[in-house]
Amino acid sequence: MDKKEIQKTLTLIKKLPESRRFFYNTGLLMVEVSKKEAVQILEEKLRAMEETQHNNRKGG
Amino acid sequence: MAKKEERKEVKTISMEELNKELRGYIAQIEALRAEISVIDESIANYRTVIKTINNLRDLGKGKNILIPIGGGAQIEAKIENPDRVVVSIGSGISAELNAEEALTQIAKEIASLQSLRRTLEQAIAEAYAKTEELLQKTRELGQAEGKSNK
Repeated sequence: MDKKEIQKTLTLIKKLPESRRFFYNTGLLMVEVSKKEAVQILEEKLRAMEETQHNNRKGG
Repeated sequence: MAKKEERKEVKTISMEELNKELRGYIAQIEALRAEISVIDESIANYRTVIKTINNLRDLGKGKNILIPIGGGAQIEAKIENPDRVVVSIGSGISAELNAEEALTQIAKEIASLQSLRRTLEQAIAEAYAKTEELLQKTRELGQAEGKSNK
């Protein structure tokens, strides 16, 4: 999973109405999440990725 | 005499290098082919999904279906709404879409896979051309070596 893919998914989620159901794949199980939660999960992932990249750049 | 030996040494190394490069390109072609077959499989899967969504929509609400649960076992279920499909939209998230949206999403995935396939095919064609070129060089080098040995 890369930043581009996450950003693409975020754009897609934001386009869908609030009433839609969303599911998060936790490995074996799919957990139902709200649209807000789905966005939060992905934004968190993005932030973590950016932080790692930043740290790698600092370290390298 | 020493010069001739030296030249022969250079040619041997070149032949080895050519062979190494050739093997590299052949491996690259094989890897690209493997990737293309994975893509083909994904496209075939997506086409099956399109067929399934359309068939379920045609059959309508309330139909009994069998859901595979692995090991050849199936469990009976009833279609509540064939117009509601949960589709993966990437990054571990799946969203409930209506059938039309799901079909559009799947068509986009197929198009992106086909575009990737074309890129890989192009890379294979380039690797093939390179292989041909290297084979020709190998032949020429072999002939030159044959002559110099006479």
